[in-house]
Amino acid sequence: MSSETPADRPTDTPDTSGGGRPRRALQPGDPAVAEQPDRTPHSGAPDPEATDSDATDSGAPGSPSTPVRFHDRLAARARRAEAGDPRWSWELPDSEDPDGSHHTPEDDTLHDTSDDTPGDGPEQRPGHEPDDKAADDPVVDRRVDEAGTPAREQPGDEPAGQPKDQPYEPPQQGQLGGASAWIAAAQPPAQTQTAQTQTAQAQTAQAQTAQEQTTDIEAQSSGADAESEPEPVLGPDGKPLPMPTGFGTPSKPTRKPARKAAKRRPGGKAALGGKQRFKLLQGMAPRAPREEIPDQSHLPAPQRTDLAVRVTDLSVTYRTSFEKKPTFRQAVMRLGRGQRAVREIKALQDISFEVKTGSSVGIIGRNGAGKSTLMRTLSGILPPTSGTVEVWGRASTLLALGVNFNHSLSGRENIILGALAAGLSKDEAVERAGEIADWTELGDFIDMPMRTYSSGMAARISFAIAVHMEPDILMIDEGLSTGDAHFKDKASAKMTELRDKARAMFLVSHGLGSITELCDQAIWIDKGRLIARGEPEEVVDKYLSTLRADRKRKASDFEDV
Amino acid sequence: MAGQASAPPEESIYQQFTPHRAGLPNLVEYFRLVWRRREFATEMSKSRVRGSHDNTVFGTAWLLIDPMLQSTIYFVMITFIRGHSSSGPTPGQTFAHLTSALFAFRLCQNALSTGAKSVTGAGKVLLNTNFPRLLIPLSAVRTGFTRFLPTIPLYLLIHLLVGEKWRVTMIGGIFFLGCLLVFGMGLSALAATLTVYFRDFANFLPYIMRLWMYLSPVLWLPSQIKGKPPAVQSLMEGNPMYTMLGGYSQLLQNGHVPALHVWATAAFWAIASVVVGFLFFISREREFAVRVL
Repeated sequence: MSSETPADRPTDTPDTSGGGRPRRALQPGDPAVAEQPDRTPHSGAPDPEATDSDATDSGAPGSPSTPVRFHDRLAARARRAEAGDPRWSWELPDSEDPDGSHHTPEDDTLHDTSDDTPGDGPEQRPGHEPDDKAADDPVVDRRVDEAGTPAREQPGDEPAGQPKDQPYEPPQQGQLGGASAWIAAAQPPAQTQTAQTQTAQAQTAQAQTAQEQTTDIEAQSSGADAESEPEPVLGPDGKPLPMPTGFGTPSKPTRKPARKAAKRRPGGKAALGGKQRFKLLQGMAPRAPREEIPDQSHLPAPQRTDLAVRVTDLSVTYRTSFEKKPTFRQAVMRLGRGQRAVREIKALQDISFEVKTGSSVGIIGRNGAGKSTLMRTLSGILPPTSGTVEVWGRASTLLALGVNFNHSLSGRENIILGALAAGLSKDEAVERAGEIADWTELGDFIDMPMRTYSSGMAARISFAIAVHMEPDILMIDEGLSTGDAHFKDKASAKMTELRDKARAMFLVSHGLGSITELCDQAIWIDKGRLIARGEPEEVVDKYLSTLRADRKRKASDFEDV
Repeated sequence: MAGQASAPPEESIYQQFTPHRAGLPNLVEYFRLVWRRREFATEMSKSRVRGSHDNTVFGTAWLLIDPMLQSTIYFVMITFIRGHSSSGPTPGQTFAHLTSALFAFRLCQNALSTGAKSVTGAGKVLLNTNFPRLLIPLSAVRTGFTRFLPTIPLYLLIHLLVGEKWRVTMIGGIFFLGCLLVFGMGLSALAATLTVYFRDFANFLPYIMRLWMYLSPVLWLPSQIKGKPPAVQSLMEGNPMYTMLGGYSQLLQNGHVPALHVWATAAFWAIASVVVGFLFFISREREFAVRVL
């Protein structure tokens, strides 16, 4: 966790910072959540500290140091506490959240939290089950009743995508004390942040609203009182450094140079879970269905226009090394020991499907299921071991963003190189480079060496190259990131435009919400095999039920042991 | 990559990716694609040159100073340390031979060392763009050639300074230079592939190259191995550099047109290197996307 994200945020979205932040606070994959346990001890007796820090609050507003922020937070909390409610109160992220409109409750449940964790978004859903148990189990209940403990553990234990917004109120909340406890537990930071972005008066006003909302929550989650007791304690601390600079330095204008904003992005990007990233996709509306082109199977393949992609009995097998960096020295040593470090990976096995022109296809599956390999095969990067892949059109290069070639070259030169790699002629590339350069809005930086760029700026370049090559087959991978909020909107609009033009769109995502919203068919791949294909809802349901069954099976296996 | 079945118009691109036959894609199609993307290789090479500031005044100066310093060191070594025999060439001739041969050898050396790291250094472009990978080592060879070019006028100057005259037959050197360049392309592709499998290959390369230089007619004249044991002679003559560098420096320095078999052998080595190097590279390039991270 770093201070970059919160500091960056007000500059990105000065108007909406208050509304946008709560979700940030609730990122389950966020180290912030993970850090909560460590910080909780401080919060054991926060009140005296809080009163002390009232002075700090006003006395050192400009200090960006963490302790002051911590005190600030405590102070804000104390103020709110004095306002009447002895308990911690919080404000729910409401409709002023600019992103909120993009989230369905389902999204919140299902969105991926991180790229690499095998337990991605969808897999987290079955993660309720331990809570089910917790609710039923008296022993666990007792533990829950003890101040602090459960609230501390649960957010860490449950990195699911749920504890984001209040709209998530499935039956579980009523039934499960544990679940509601941590849902609630995750909310105080939201309030802290929101409140802190306001001026003092606004804070008071908000605190009142917050209290009202708190009562609402209490009403909803009756019986969760005991659990929600420790949350206030956790709340302010659980949010390590989300203090916006705008609060610490109220006199300063919030708008900072774009470069600075972008520069600070990387930390935030790493810290943000999948959800923020998916804003790009959430900005896209479901595509209007296109006219279906009648079957043209009588035509020779190159002349057909009804199909975008046809995959026939595709298998991809490759051999790779155990070693990240295979060296001659190690090879000799292995030879001495008679070992081999090569293994064969059957990435895809006997996959066949057709994609009609105008379709949006979602590809789901666990990590390592072969999704990215399939995309690479479709774009011709990895030729099949057997079977054929026919593609009507040029595939985009959105697989893993970053076509940056040479960091000592300027952004413009890298754009030209990217365009040439994509198959444009030199003249076209130079011509289009100007257009792309303008689109990235990097100003003078476009002619500076790429090594001076922040990673957000580099991401802009990569994204711009990828989307401006006018791909016929649009491929979007989940790891798509494009920099700050403004650029995300722009990127989202561009993607929508592209998607409407492209012959087909492939979307690899663990955010099952995006798949069901944006795609009109889905493919589920597991261990290189095509498990299901069809309507996104059906496929997603099947996928989720299998995951749940797996989880249960594993759990019961464990109990047997 | 795999057999793109058609060369379609821009509007309706139809691509068919099929398994490689015997590990190789359709070579005609492959080289057509290489040709179509040649501007990419050119630009990549240019960008590498720009990136290392070779196109600035001091960058270009360094491209001249570096080989000059190297030849001076070797000149000191072979004339003062090894000793200068009165029957052999004059110091001026030795220096002219040394510079011409060394500069040409450095062309190959550069191509090989830049090429070795080219694929592993290409990064994400390998993972997400579909293009014939052979362009990567080829662009490295182009870079090596760009760095070699300033030494041609340098040699011509040295040639005059040591009291030789420019001759028409010197033009014949272009053939051997071409052979060296093509030979370098094959080696570069080979080295690039090996580096993917053995990342420390580039570390061995300087030693291999130095040993190779000592075995090549750079520090000695082809005429100087006459009278050595036949085994040593055949070993020296089996070295591809023997004919290529020997013929090149002979033409440049004395204007002696080498025998026909020297030309033929040089051409043979160049073609053999390209065939072996390119085929090895192409047969392995499918794995690059999963091996290079």
